[in-house]
Amino acid sequence: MELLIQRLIDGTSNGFLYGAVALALVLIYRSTGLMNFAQGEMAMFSTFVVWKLADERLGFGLALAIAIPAGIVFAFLLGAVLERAVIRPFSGGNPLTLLIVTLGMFLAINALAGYIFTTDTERLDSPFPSGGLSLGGVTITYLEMGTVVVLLVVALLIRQLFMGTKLGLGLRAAAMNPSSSRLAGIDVGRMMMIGWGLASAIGAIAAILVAPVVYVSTNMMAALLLYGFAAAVVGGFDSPFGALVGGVLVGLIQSLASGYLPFIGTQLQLATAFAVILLVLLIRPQGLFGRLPVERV
Amino acid sequence: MSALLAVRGLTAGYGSLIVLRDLDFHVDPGEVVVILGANGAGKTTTLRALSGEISGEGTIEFDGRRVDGSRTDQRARLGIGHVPEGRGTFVDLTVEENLRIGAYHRPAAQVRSAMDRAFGLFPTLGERRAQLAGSMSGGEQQMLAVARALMGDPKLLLLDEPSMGLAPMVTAELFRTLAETNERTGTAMLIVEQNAQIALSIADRAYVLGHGQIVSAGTAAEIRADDSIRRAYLGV
Repeated sequence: MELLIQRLIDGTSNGFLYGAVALALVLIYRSTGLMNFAQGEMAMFSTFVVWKLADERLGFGLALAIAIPAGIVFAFLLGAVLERAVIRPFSGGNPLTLLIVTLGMFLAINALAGYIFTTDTERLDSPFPSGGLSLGGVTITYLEMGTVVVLLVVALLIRQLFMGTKLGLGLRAAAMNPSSSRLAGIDVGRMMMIGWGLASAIGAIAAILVAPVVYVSTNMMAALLLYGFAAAVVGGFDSPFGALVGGVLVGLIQSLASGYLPFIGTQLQLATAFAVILLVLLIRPQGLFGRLPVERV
Repeated sequence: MSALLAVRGLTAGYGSLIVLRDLDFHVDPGEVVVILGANGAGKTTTLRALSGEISGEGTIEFDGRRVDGSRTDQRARLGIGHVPEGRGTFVDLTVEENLRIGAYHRPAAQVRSAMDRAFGLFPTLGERRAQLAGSMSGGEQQMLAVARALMGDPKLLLLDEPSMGLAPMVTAELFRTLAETNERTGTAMLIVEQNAQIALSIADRAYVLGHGQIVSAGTAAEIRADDSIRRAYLGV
C-alpha cells in the first residue's frame, strides 16, 4: 500500500514536469501551428544560464534567488528572439520546412550550449530545502512539493493571462485568425514573439525544477521532452488544460508501469512514453481534450 | 476639402499576376463610395491593397499621410477599418470578445462606450454577447463583422461584399444600418458589392471596375442611369 502511494506521489510530481513541457509545446502549437522540437534545448540552455550565474566554482556564485529569475527572463527573451529571427522568415511557408527549422535549432542550441558552457554534467542546487515529509513508509520530498506548487501557480497565472487580460485576448486572437487580427490593428508579429517567449519561460521553469534530479548537461532534456510530447498527445495538442492533465497521466502511467511491470523496470521507462503516444494516436488522435481540425470556409 | 483617401497609380496583384492596373480614385471624408464590377474585376484585390494585405505600386494617401509602406495593423490603427471577404469572424470567441478585438488599439476607457454604441446599432449582438460567434447565422456574423470594424472607430470603413450569402431581407437591413451609421458618425465607407442596386441606393458616388481598370466613375445617380454600364458590367 505504501509503495503504491509512493509511486502515485512520484508519478504526479514528475507528471507536472511533463505537463509543463507539454504546456510550452501546446502554446507554440496553438500560435504557430508548429511542433517545436527545440523546446527542450531552449530550456536546457536557459538552465545553463542559471547554473553559470549561480555556480561558485565555474560561474559567478550568485544566489539562486537572483539566478533563477534571471534565467527565466533570459528564457523569455531567447524564445522571443528565436521566433523573430529564425522562425518568422519561414512562417507562412511549408509546415515541413518549419519542422526542419526547429530540428536545426535543436542541434544548434545543443552544440552552442556545449561550446559556451560545458559538455560535462554539472550540479544545480534545488531551490527548495533537501529532505521531505515522511508519513508511514511514504516520503514526499520538498522538491516534489515545490515542483507541484510552482507549476500549479504557473498554470493558473498563464490561464489568467490568456483568459483575463487584454494581452491574452490579443494572443488568442492572433493565434486563431492572424489576418483578421491584423485588420483589427493587432501587431500579430509581436504577439507571436510574446507567445514564444512565454512558452520558452515555462519550459525553462520545468528544466530548472528537474535539474536537481537529472543534473545540468546538454542532454538533460532528452527524456523530459519525450514525456512532454507524450503528455501533449494525450491531452490534445491544442489544449493547454489537456497538456497538464496529460502530463500527470503520463507521469502516473510511467511510475506505475515501471513499478508493477517487472520487464519495464527503469530501463524501459522511456518506452512507456512512446507506447502512450502510439496508443493515443491510434485510438483518439485528437487527444483527450483536443479537437479534430475542422475545415473552415 | 482634401480627400480622406487618395489613391494614385495603384498597380497590384498576386506574385507575377497583375490584377489592378494604374488605378486612381479617392474617397472624401464622410462619403459612401461603391466599387462595382463583375467577378474577377479586382474589387477584393483593391480593398486588400488598401489594407496592405498585398503590396503594390503607386501611392496611397490616407488622412494626410502616405500609408503605402505601412503594415496592415498600422493602417488599421490609423483608422482604416476592413470587413473582409468571408467576414473574418473569430468563431471560437464570444461576440463580446470579437468586439473587444475590434477595439484592441483603443484605450480601455473608450471600449465601454464603443460597445454600447455597437449594441445600439445591432441589438441582436447585445442579446448574444456571451454566445460563441461561430454559432451565429451568416447574417448575424456579418453584423458582427461590421460592428467589430466600427469598434476601432475607423475614419474609413472598407466593406467587401457585405451582402454575400445573406437573404434579401437581411441585406436590406444591413444596408439600412450602414447608411444610418454613416449619417450618425460620419464614417466614410468604400463598399465593394455585387448587388449594385442596393449598394447604389446608399452611395454618394461609384466607380466601375473592369479587368483591373476603372472604366467609369460618377455619382450614384449617374451610374444608375447609364444603361450601357448596367449591361456591360453590372449584369442587370
